[in-house]
Amino acid sequence: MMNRVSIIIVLVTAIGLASCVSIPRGPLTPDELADAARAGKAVVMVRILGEADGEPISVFESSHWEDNLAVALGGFETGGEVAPLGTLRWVSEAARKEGWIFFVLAPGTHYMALQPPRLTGFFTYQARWRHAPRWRIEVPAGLRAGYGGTLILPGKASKWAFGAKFLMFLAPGRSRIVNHEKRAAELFAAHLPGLGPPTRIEMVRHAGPVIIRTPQARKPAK
Amino acid sequence: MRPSTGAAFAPPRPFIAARPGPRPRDGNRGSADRVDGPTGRAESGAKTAAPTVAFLLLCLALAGCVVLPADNAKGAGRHIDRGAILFLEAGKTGHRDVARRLGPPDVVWETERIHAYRSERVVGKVLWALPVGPYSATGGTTDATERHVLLIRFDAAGTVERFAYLERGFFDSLGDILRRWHAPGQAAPETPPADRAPRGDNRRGSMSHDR
Repeated sequence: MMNRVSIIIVLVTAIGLASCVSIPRGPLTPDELADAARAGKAVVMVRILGEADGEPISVFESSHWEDNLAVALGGFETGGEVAPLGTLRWVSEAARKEGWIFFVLAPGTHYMALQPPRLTGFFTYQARWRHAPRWRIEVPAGLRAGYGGTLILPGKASKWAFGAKFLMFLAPGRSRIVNHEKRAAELFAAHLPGLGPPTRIEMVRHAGPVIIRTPQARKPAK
Repeated sequence: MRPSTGAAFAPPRPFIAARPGPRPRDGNRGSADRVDGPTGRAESGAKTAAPTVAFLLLCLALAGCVVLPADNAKGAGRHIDRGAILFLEAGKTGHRDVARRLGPPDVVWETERIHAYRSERVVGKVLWALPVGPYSATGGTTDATERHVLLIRFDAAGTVERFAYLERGFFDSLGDILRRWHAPGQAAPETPPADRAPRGDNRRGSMSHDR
């Protein structure tokens, strides 16, 4: 009897702890960097800072991405529709808490959409991506390292059960882009030194029809 | 039938063998403790606590499954009825007329002068359950939708060159649909509407028209 109860306790505990599994995604590995270079893709770093009642809020405070601001990306490949990123990439935990994340993007027009953490049904949340506020990022051909600007994102904050604040509603109409190029250069130098200093390619708030363009054919590598 | 035994008529034993009052000073257990078995009170306490602990852990494990339903209609898109696009005529209809009747497109493939309009229509409700992410599950009801995409290609002068009203499956990427339709000889299955369909063509769901 005791053995059976012990087994049940272990199994239930395992199920319970399975929820604690997170997939940290740190800086790019040398293989990933090589793949990006071969494909002509750029590493584009952006910073997103929440703001509620005049106070800054870290939008990527949690190491568990579902508790953070959700980010979706789209471009030519997706027909302009954004798809939520399963995991975000950051160069360090400290950088993540400062709001720095990065994308590996092919040359062309990309759209970044944002939503507060999911507090509703899966399909409802997925459907909302269509109308989520988006920002356009233009990646020029030949770019290796880019800084997409710092997005100050006002909204209404709430608190998780264990105290951390998060943005529950976004006010994209009051958002603005500021320049933290120096800090971006520091992060690239410290964590992605092979890419050189980043070029500033400031993201722009996008409204109206999504514009996509056929990517230019790349010259074959010699 | 099982034989009856005298034990069936015995008075019930107390579930927890505790007796009020002080323990004997010599450390011996009281007689009531001994009736619970060789290990006495410790085993009895564990038996009681284990199901409680298991239940609490199960509650914790299942806590992630709780989802509050919300209004699905907020995510619903516009519906473009087949009748609403009967005005389209390849080689005749201009860009301005399209914009006036259908509004702005959802996606503009600028380099190919293709405009895409998404269309959604609710056709029912679906009961669903799904694991989400590494730790939680969710479920509920949601709208079952019929999805279409209207693709219109304009010529350099801004006149409709060709168009198609295509069915879109749940997992179909708009990017794939656009590229398939644009790629010569690889167009998705298309069917003209009833009033333009050639005789004998009974395919449903999609339609197209070229100049």
